[in-house]
Amino acid sequence: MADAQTLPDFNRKRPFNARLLASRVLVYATLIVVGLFAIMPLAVIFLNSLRYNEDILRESFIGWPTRTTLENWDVAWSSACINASCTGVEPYFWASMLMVVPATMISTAIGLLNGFALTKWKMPFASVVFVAITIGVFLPPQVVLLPWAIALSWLGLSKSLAGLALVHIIQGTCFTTLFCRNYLINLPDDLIKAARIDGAGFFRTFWKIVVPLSPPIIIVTVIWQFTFIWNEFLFAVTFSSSDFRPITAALMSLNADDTGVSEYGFGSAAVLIAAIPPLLIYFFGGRYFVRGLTQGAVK
Amino acid sequence: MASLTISNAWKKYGDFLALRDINLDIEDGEFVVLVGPSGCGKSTLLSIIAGLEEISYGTLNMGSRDVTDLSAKDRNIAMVFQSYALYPTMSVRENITFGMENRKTPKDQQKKAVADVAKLLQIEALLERKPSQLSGGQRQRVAMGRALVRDPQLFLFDEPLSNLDAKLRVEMRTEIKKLHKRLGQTIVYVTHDQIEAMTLSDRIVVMNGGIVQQFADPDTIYREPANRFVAGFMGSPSMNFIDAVVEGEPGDITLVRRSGDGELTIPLKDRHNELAAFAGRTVTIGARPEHFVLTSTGEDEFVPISARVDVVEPTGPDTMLVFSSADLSLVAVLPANFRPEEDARIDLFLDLENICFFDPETTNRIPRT
Repeated sequence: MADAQTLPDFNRKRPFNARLLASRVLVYATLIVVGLFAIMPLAVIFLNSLRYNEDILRESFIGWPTRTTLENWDVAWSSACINASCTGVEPYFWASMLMVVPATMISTAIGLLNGFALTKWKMPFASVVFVAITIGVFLPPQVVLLPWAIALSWLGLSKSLAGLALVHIIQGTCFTTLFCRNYLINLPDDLIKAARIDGAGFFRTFWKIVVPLSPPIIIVTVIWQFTFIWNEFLFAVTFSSSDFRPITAALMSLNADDTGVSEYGFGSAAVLIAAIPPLLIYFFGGRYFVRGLTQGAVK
Repeated sequence: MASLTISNAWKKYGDFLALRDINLDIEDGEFVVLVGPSGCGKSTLLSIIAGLEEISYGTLNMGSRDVTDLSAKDRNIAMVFQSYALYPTMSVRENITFGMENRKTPKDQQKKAVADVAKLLQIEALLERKPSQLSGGQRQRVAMGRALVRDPQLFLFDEPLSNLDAKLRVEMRTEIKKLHKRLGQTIVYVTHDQIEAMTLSDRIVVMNGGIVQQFADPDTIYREPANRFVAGFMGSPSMNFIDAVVEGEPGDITLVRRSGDGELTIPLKDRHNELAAFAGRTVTIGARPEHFVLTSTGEDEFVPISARVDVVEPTGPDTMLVFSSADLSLVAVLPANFRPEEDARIDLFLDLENICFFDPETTNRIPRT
């Protein structure tokens, strides 16, 4: 009979297996090589942001710093010249922020509302509307460039912060609606029915029942939208001017002066400054992002 | 409280007719259970009563009010869902008061109503918890509290006990019945569990294929089922159905079933003279498992049936016996101490007084004369 009182030997070792060990070594070696390859661009740019430009030009673009300096970061932030105005990237950074934050928030809010209406409210032709909205996800941005230019000039919003934000809100709504609709479709219908019997209307049900249950997908859409709009380049270049220019568009014309010398040092620092906000967002929200995307995959 | 009258209700989904000409008169304070297999339309009917689904044709009256075109919130009903549908992000208290908040009930009234309901359902200690911190039984209570607090004219229950484990289900069943006795509300209760239907209801609506098969009190449903469907659906184990030919003449009728495996003869003598009209034709005998007994009282009310034991299933209080007679496989429920060997040949007695008969063509019960 089994004796439940005496403990067995839990420290049993698995027998040595050479093939297993070899395959492990192979797997990890491959992973390390691929990992290094992936991190290389970031590492090179980061190291260059700490080197003097003359060192970069003299030695090589890829190389370990012989002398280090933080001056590049200061120049990039506050005194590098962009299209002959030597203000650094600072104003463009804040311009981006001013455009990205409202565009992200508004497109997320619209997406959530759309998702609710499409899944939980008896809406005529809901599936047709949903397909129509999500076509925008698969439409290449070049296709909508000209229509947008015309639309913005009609609205009197050409080359303005509000105009570019509007473009991103509407383009982004395609994505946010897709995300939110797929999340909310798994919300139990009974909750909405119970709220209806409890006398709550569309917006009250949305605000009191749906929104409190949506943080996982709100986080996903905010990360997605923020990163996407912040990093976006095509619309940023097309629909901006010297009065308003997002940082991604500004980086293109970054120069120290008019000498035509390539400024790799503070150029690298400026690129990294531009990359910081999405990186921060991803560091703090990344685990929610992965969790949110897989939510509802298994019940 | 109010009565509920459903007249000529139809529901169509595309080309599918979910409900066909439903007519129900539910009295004030009555506990009515809708029962039927899945897809029979019972939940659709409940949704229509709740106002969550629109009716395709027909009218709905609560008391003297025509509520056919009113939305769910204006019908003054409350509903308990199978999934409880508690709002996960709100505390128990907020769950209970949400409806009153929406109706802008004054705060002090809300407070009093919550206190009353919490006391009634013994959930006072749970008021500040979130639904995820509650057990299944507690969630069930909160769901009922949310319904009770509004003091509606009509209560709707949509399979409220089917997510509970067996023991709790029986407890809550009793509790719901007590609650109904105490508060005397009109209740419409949907279930697929025929024991719940039998134990809880004042009257049962048996549905199948979107049609009301029978609307009657539990005893009538059990003893005088309107048709073969009701007879087979209500009761567990199910009623045995035996096709047999009616022979003889009024006052001396015999039912005979002949087959390659033997002959089953049931002399009715002067009983069940209603079968005289079926002389020479086949009728379906409906015998419940408890209509087979071990001993005859000597009256000709009991007819011996020779049986071969197939399976013996002791359930505790009874022994369930699956046996063959002629070419039929039948089920009997017998006293617990009866444990025959398998394949043994035994004699059972069929209680002629309580069996019923169905017309095989219409499947309707042949009424007794």
